[in-house]
Amino acid sequence: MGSGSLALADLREGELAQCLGPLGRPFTAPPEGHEALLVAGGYGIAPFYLFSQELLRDGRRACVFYGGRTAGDLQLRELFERLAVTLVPATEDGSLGHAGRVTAPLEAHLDASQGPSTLYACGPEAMLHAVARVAARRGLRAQVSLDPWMGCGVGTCLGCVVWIQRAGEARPKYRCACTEGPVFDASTVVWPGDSTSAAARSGDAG
Amino acid sequence: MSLGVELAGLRLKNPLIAASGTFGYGVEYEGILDLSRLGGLVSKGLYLEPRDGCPTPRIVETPSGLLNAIGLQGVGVKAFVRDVLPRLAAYDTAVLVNVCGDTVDEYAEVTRILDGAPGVAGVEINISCPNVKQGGMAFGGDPRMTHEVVSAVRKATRLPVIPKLSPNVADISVFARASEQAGADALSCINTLLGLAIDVEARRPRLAFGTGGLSGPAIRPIAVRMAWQAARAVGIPVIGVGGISSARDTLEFLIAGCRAVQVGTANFVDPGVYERILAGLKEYMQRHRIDDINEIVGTLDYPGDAEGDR
Repeated sequence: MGSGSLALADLREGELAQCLGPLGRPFTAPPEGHEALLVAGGYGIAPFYLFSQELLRDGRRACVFYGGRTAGDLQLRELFERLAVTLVPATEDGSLGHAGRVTAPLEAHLDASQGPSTLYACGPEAMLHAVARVAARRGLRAQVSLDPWMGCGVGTCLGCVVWIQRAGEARPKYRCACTEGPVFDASTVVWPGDSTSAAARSGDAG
Repeated sequence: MSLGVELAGLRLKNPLIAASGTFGYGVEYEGILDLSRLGGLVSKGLYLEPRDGCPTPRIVETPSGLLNAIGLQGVGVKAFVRDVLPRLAAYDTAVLVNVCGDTVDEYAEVTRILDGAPGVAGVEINISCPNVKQGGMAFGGDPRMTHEVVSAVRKATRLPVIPKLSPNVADISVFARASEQAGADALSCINTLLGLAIDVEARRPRLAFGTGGLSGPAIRPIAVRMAWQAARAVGIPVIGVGGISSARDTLEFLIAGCRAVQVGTANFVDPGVYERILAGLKEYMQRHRIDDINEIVGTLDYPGDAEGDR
């Protein structure tokens, strides 16, 4: 846990904390008739509790794929068990649910599913990238929540930029995750390690 | 009680200026704070053309500090003049523009564009950014280059010209004097200190660029010392910058001889920091029966300084 999370966890009942928000752009609801497939890795589960409730309130269908290294990483699963969403756990050591990466049960669900789906992902970058690849392969839309270090939260320090290339743009542009994200359309993200992103990164390091 | 200050032909309603690189182009804070409460603001550094800046990660926290290598990502001066300046016109605050260049000519060209633009109160010359391969600190680390850049900018405008000096030098007073001789109207002291943070697991720098510029409370005593040295070396006003987050910090710089200050990294912690500082300054002035904040400037009782020695 980082120092910010620890400071929040240390607050006692009745204590006040200053908060600036809401900031940035959140997950947005799927098109009518779509099932929302929420893919979380570890702490990445956090935004999906409220998002699931919102989806359910609007009468949408949602399924949560919750991955971690071990069962102990899946801290919030009891909260979700009280909601009318399907929770599919996956652990790399097999201590709970599917043994392996969380994208495996996601793909199995997509294989079995009849109707259209929209993917949502929050968690480690490698997992977000994997979800983006699943979406690209199947022609689905995915929204991913990126989590670079942020200094200011309002787009002034330019510390949290990510390469984003939107339709019609000749080359990727550094965009602030704090104001234009943290949620981006996965198809616009230039992922580290991708050949295109290597070209982009060698562009202008000045 | 008067908080107003004058420097380099500018009248600021109070001595607090938002520092370059920590305040975007100012407009990002619309709706979060009232820009008219600021004495002034300095834009993010601008070149002629847009720049991508450094690869990521670009920022890392260090004890009481922030290490950054942003690399002067920016929209370029033309987009700034076209898109940002008209929006800033709505606020009663002095808009200073931080000018960058890969070459002396580029500094002059950016300045010429700003010279004709409405709403620019002055230019701050960035000869101290540690995160670019050309220009930046390369100009600020050599007194002859400092003189050359400041002279070129001076010739390009009648606006107040304020070089921002680098702390990564042995004797800042040399650079302060070179700037003054080249026609500078004031000095901003200091930019960030060159630092390096290492990820010991990966055995790589924690910033993608490698080294970075250190800011925040960690550098304040160094900044106060260097601003004080610069203020003693020249007749033009000095604007103190470095780790300011309270009225007490501000007062240190004013007492050391600065006519105004810039608040930087503290903006990231609390965008409302200015209100706290202003309230603290008023409280101090009341307690010390000071009517005009300028009375405090340069009142440091330094050991060994004889009366009238300066």
